[in-house]
Amino acid sequence: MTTGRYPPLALDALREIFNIGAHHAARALGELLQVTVRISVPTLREVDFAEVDALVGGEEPRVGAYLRFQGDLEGSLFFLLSPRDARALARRMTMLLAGSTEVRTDRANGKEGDFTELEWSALAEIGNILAGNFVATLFSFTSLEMRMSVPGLAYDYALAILAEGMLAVGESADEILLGDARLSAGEQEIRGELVFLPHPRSVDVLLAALAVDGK
Amino acid sequence: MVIHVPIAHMAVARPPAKLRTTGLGSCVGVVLYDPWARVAGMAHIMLPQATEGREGPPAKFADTGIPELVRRIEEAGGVRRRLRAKIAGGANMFPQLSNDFFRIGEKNVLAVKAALQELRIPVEAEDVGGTVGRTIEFDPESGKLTVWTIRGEVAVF
Repeated sequence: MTTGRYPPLALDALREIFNIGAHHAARALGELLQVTVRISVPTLREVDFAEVDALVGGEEPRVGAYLRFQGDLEGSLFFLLSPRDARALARRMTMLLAGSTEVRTDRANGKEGDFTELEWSALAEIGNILAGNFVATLFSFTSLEMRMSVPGLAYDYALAILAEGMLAVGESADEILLGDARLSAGEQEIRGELVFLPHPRSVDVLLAALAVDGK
Repeated sequence: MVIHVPIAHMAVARPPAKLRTTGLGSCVGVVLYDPWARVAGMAHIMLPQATEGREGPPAKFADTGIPELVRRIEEAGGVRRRLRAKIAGGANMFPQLSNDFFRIGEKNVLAVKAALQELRIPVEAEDVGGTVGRTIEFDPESGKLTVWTIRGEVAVF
């Protein structure tokens, strides 16, 4: 269901910006992990709150990195992974940091949501790098400045994580602009989802900066 | 049959139907039920207060959602003075990022309780706060609220 706050032309412009931002973020992740990171064609659409559940798999367990941004543009960015893929990604990252080429499997029997402190900070850093590159791309296209929060991390229901971004826009909107890009990395097929939730009042700022008539 | 209540929405049910809402983080799940008429309502509330002069789904806010939920339960045959409440949620999902605004879970719980108190509806059970999300299901037949977390914990209230 399209609620129709934004005309198609405005949505196209936002889609393009999200697309470029997501690609840059994916490339940065690939460089960091020294693997090829592929990206699906990013989608961006208006979604009513009631539909978010079904789209993000509301009850699915996810590890989510959450970054808020403030300034000319306000909103949030999430990087969501299944617990299995989060662990694989964290291991890859900690392995690289340790200069080792072997994947340690000593914690393979740990519970799904159990992460070491090192794995957890590796995931926070990944969120940081993705969001940093995303924001930098937006800046290079629009000259709009944003300050990023430190990354917050949670292992929980997908909806419980994403709702944090939704309630930040909830006072003034009943729908969100859900930008969704799926990344996959390396031979292990690690998949993650990049979700962009701009604040409605920022969308107007963004469209003005892109010289698109959003009204 | 299980009726799914999306975020910022509400629903009313009678046995054998059950009510369920998933992934409550900072949001609060509110169940009101009339044990005699066996009619129940559930709302997935996101924020404490509605902004003035703005239309939207009433269930998004505690101050508009709870009176509306009562109204719908009455419409379905429930009686206000017999209503009891069970609430769950209001967690602080990202304690690392907490500031005044983002302690929204606590504010939601307080706003829900204030709205219930105003309508003189007693809170019979609550499972609120903490740092983990919850999925809840209510059975109007038994009056039991089941609460799950992602780590597989289950509690019945």
